[in-house]
Amino acid sequence: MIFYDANLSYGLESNEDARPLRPCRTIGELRAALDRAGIAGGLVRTVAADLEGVVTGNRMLAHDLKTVQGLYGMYTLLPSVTHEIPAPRELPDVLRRDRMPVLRVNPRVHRYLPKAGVLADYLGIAEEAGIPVMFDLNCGIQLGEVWDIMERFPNLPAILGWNNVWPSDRNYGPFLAAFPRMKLELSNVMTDQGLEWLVKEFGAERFLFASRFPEMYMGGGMLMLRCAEISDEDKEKIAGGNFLSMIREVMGND
Amino acid sequence: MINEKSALAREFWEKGYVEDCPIYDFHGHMHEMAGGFLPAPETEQMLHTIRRAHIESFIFSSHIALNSPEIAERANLEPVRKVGRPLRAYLGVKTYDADWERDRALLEENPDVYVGCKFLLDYFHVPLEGERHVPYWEYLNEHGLLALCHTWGWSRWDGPDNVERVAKTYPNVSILCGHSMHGEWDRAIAIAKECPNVYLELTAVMDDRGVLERFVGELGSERILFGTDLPWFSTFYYIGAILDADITDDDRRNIFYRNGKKLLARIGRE
Repeated sequence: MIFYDANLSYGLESNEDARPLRPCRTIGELRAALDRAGIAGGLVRTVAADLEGVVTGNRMLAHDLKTVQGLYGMYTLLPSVTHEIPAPRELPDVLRRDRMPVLRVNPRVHRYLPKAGVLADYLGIAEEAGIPVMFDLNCGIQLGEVWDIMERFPNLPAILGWNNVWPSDRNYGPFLAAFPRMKLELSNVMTDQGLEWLVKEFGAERFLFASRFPEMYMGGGMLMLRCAEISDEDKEKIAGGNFLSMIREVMGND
Repeated sequence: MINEKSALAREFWEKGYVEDCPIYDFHGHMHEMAGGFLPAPETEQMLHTIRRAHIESFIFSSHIALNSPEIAERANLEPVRKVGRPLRAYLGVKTYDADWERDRALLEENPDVYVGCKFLLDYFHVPLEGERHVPYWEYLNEHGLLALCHTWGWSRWDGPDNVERVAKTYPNVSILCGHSMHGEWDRAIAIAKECPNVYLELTAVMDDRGVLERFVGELGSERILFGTDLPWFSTFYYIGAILDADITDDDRRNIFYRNGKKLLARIGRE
């Protein structure tokens, strides 16, 4: 199996209560941790985008991504009205140039209303161009808000990042049933025999291996997937195949 | 691969288990629970995981035993009576329906089933040391049995202060701190250092990278017990996370089975 991790981060969180016990300060440290675990690459955000600011964070991440292999970035969105980031029509080229093929949002930290209408121009482009959008419930957006956005953009190739380990299929299952292009990253999905149930119910194409390193261990999800009672083909998809297909939609054969 | 520095990780990666490294799970449940969907909560479904993961000892208290006075201990007794080892149970202390004479009779009539009691007091909102629990603690203390306590940081029911009180009052009870006083990690370490009858248990700890390293670094690995809340959390996830942690393979073996074997042998239930 070739693993790609769909939810990684690096940088030093300034809030002591929010900081992981073992932070990962640089993209180089992150690359070393992936090598230790035998993970080929993944999708990363920088803490800087939510501390220093979106413009700085996006720029830093684009720069850092040039120094490592196998990693792709999450580009942080803001409402277009303040013109702080490239205009919606310019964005796909920026994402390809900077190797940041997935969008992300953090409305509470960046202080804007988490409504579909506020980001409609960007989300419209994303839906049209097949650009994934990460809705991480640990990053300033709530489940009901994601549902409202998805109802407005039902074909958005979104990624749902669930934010706690409590068995929650009753919460995220309806998203997978209602929105066919949405995928669930599995960092907090660890219910016994839960992955088998999800794959049987929704198909392996809907899931992405993820760890949330450095907050969480990579090895837990790796061994759970390795030992899951699903086909080898499905394991390959979840470990990295689905991730690479998703990235290629934006990047081409990078 | 998980961890290129660990021979044990490489072995687990091959088959999902290692013959000479069994698993002793000290924090299990069974049956449906109200607050979430569990795909495999029934005895036979759980045995499937228990066998695949080479769990040599699995000690549980059914959700039903803890929450339903109507069915109560039948939900613990019947699976253990039917299956035998590796299953054993904690008698669920139903604070809201506490009947010490009934429960003492159950403990005395079923020594092959029960290794002690389970306290779930963040749910029942009564302190660990509360009056209704006193006869339970006295019995456990007299017989040197186990008390698996749900423990959580900053809780007024089963937080560090409550644990410290019962640990010092009942020194002959092995107090297994389910979730290791979640969040108040330093208090958990301090109390475990001060009270040799306190053990830290890893359910809901292993999704927080770095806690185990802190426990092992400051307390050592000999009073840390493996647990998963199965049928909640995947045994394989928890094994993988421990294999990933920055501790030695010797520490991992202590946590997976050595500490558990010693503890059960000491109370005459291995």
